[in-house]
Amino acid sequence: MFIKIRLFKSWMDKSKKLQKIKAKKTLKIGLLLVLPYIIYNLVFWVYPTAFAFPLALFKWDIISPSQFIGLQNFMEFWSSEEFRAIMWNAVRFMLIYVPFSMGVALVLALLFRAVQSIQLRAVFATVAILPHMSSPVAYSIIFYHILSPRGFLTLGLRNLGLNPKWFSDPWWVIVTFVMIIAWKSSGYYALLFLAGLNSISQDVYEAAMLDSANWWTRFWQISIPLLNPALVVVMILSVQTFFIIFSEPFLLTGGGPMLASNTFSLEAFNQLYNNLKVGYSAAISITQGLTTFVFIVILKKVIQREI
Amino acid sequence: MKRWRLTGKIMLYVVLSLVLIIQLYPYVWLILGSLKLEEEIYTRFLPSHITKLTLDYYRKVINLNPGPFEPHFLLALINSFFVAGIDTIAVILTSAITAYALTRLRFRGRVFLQNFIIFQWVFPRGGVMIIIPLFLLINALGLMKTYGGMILPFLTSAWGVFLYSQYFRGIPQEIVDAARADGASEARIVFSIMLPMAGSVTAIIALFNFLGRWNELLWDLLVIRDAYNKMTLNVLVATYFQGGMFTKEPGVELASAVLLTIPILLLFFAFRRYFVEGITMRGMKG
Repeated sequence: MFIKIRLFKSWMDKSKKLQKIKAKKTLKIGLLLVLPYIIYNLVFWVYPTAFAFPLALFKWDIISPSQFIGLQNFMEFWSSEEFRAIMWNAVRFMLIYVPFSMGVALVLALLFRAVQSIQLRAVFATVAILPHMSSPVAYSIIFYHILSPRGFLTLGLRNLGLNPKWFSDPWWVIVTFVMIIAWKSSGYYALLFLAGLNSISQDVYEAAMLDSANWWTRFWQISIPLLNPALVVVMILSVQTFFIIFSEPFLLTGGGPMLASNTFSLEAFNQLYNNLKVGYSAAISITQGLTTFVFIVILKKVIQREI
Repeated sequence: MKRWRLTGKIMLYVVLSLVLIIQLYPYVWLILGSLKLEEEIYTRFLPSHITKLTLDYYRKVINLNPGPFEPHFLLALINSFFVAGIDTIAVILTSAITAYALTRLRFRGRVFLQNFIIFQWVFPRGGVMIIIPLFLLINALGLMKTYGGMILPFLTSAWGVFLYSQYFRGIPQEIVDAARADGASEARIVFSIMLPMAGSVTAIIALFNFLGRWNELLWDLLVIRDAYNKMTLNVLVATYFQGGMFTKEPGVELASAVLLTIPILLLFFAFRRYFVEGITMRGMKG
């Protein structure tokens, strides 16, 4: 009996020891396997992220030695004409784009949901995200030509008595960009809404039907509140849009006319690429990050209070 | 009541077809435009009005030996495939290995690394804030105007690690234990057991990374500047469109945009299932 217990004990000890060795081994292997990811991201993610702000405190053109100037880059950018124009563009763009694209996407999602055939729904869903996957360079070229003053659409609208100025008027240019980017993204947002709608349990609707709630009440009282997570995601995406777009204004307008389509990305790129003003463009990009953050926080508060 | 239902259904399909037309119209316009004579590109749209279709623009775009002031689109196409391909393969490998270690192995700092990856996911590399210091880093490494400069910053993806982790967590531990008992190394478990099982996740990560890389403009433009022979197609088409050293023609612009779009369309229609699936997965972030 005692021998048995002792044997068992020693076996236990051994297996514990083995386990410890094994645990040590997996510990080592685990670290070894994640090491490439860690080292790579220390160099190409942590280091640049940490370096962005200090960089903005220097006046530097890569060629000559850098010079510490404190917050002067920020002051210079914040008091510049470009900054005022960009902020004004951001506000104008968002005021039109956020409600428009979200509205279109919500309607699209409801329409997709109304389609009974699964195959047909898949076709619509596929085509809906095709523009989102396209190269911004390719569709910028397409729209440049479609909206050309000699083009069929411009002439057609002119015959109707309108005078579309697409890229040559400070207000038109914003509307044009909203339309192009809504063309690109609404289908994508619609699919996100659709996924949100599909995750709402059918029981809730059935219960509401029993209470004889009509389509309208069901939509406002059930779909919208329960869609809140998807709404927040889409809202963040649509608010971010202005701060991310680069290719479209870079190719179509270069930020004009009169800076009316200038964006943070474009301004930062131009200062870096053309003028090699490293610190200054870092200040622009930090301003961009902060502004995006502030806008998202404000809008998230608004949306969460509403619902 | 029944009649109302029918009208509703008809209305639904009319509206949806309209949406479909709006979404596809630019592509149709592009392809037609790239085939029309220059003086008809803008003015003639209906097939009956188009006098002649021409492949001239495509002859210029798919030219193996372009003149000194003509862009080499085919070379750029190969560059694009090269850069996007290498980055995609790297992302698949690094994401799978990291996700495996995070879900199946215990080691110090695991939770920290998990949180770090989620943080990274929320603040993606695409952000402009990171681009300027990254640009200086690439410059300091002497990688300006090289393929390395374009490839190096996109070798990992937090989203990829996240998706693989989700999937790997669902694979029964017995399978892993059995493989270990058979003496398989951890790396072997990742590549011959986990990865083959995660086929659809791999497809989604590969597709989105490939297209994301294919469509990248800002970074490649910064790095490559005027090294025309190393430009990706996206950068070359953008440079051509902007004028500068090339004399440009509208027809060639459109044909080059077609060249830029065709690989995307092919991938898209070959793997459309994964795109819709991937989009919903992408949306879960936030």
